[in-house]
Amino acid sequence: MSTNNSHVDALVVGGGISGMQAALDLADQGYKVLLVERKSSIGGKMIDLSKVFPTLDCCSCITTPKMSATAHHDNITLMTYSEVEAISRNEDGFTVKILKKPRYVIEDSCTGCRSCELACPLEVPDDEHEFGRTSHRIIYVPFSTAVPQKAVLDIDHCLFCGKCMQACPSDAIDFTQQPEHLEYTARSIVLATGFETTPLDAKKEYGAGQFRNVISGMMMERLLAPTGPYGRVLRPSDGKMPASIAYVQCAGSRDQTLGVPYCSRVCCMYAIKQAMLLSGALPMAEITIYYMDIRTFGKGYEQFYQNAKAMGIEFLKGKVAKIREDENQNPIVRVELIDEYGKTRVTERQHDLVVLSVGMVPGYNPQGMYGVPIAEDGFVQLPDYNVFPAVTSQEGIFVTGTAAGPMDIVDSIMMAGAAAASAAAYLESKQKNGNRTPQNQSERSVEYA
Amino acid sequence: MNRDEVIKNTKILILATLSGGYRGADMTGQGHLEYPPNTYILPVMTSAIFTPKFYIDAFEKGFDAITVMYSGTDSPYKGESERTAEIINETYEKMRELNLDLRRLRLAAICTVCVRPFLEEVERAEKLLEEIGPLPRPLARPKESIYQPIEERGDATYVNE
Repeated sequence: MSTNNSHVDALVVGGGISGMQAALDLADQGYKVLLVERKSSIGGKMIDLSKVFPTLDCCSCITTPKMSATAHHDNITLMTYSEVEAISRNEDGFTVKILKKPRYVIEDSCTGCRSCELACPLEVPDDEHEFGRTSHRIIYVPFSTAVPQKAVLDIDHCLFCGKCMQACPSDAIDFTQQPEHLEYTARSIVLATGFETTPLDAKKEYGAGQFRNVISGMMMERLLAPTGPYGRVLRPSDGKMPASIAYVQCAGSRDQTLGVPYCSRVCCMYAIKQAMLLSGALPMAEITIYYMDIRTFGKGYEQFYQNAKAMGIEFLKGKVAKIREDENQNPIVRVELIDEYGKTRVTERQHDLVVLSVGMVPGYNPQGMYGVPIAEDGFVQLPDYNVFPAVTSQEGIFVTGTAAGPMDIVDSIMMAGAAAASAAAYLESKQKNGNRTPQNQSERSVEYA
Repeated sequence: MNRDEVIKNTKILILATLSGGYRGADMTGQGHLEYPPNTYILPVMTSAIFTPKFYIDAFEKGFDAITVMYSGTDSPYKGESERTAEIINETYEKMRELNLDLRRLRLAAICTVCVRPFLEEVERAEKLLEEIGPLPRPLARPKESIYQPIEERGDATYVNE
């Protein structure tokens, strides 16, 4: 166990797109930022996506430069594979205890050459990024553009055969590595803890995750991504190219039975986006979207929806009641369709693949550790949302991105700017009141014009 | 030269970084897209470790065009893009000294999903070689050049200058 005590102006918890942007916005203003990410690479959910709506830009091409900029910024200290253990207030702000989990790889020595990964004889399913559709070695660099490019060892599955040690050219493997406990003083905190999706097995009516050809929107993102598990869109049960794909909207949102009464805001748009991408990937496939309402609220979103309709994607209004399988594992959707005159009819339609447009639920409850109350929906409560959208009820603690509620990438990045501006204003007001520590004043490296 | 002669008589070296160009090349292969067989793709960790001497030696030993495919400013390694640019600039100076066409060496930013840009870069190199042909060897080195031919250097080890 080791301890360390350093001062930073802001602690950003979470290295997704919103956390990275908030850290960059603060660091560009000259504030010292500590970014803590629990996974072995920053990038968050966005690095796993294929394209962004409505521009259909490559997600990787937007996220990777942000990841590199975050890692290489002089004012940002990046701590991956680490978690905040405890927070307490002091006269400077907060005392933050951080647990740095052992990678069993000496970070300063590892060059990311992947020699260990190639030498490792064992593979386990990649549940973190590929939903178990493909595998990774026991010691591995998480993905090709991971930041930092450092290997991590899954000690629970390791055979301790030592092949990675023999292969490593820089003697970076250390099986005796222990968790480190570090202590920082942070003057403000920005929470960017992100979201999780509604579990696939939550809806019993939709197969409770047992049907192999009923997948979630995030799984489809990976199938569509060029870096995805198969390199093309294949259905999981038999590897067949699906000729008929259906999207079930509101499969994890606006549903009191799941305890998710709110709209997740992004599902309509990501379903339309994926449908358009599928039209390109599988030109002969029939794509149907079963929806309750299509909510296209952002700039250019409605036009995107109209383009999708013009491309021949079938939009059918109706709530899917049940999904069952036939003997060939083809999902059969039972749905009450509503026509343009309001007439309804119940029908059953067979598809090759069904995608559930699952919703967003909070990724983390900060109430216990940070004392930040949560709202009824489980996301962080914002006491004055209309005026200060990133300010929590705890002084010096700010929130950004989907930790505050469901939102898309554009809004997450905008909110990161708002959180950084609020945090900067708070730090400046503290400085004017004489609470800025002399050490931090001298560390300030921004040059004002 | 026509395309068949280029493919038969020339060699194109592609230095592809693992976090950038090599993934692009890999994606191209996975997509079953074709490119000419006179391309030699060398996966490298970073493009910043190759000295100007490496490139001159590669031209000397038989490559007619070299494309460095790296991830530019997206690189996970801090300073890789700046250092690579410096090295390529230094190499251009040496190439001028040896009267080599500077278009034979090219730096290209290729990301992990850049299938089309990868193919475009290969096509650009092929077209260039159709236009200017293979490199005449031995290289016309000035007598005072510090870059002695490999056979006169006596060993094949590459050391950083």
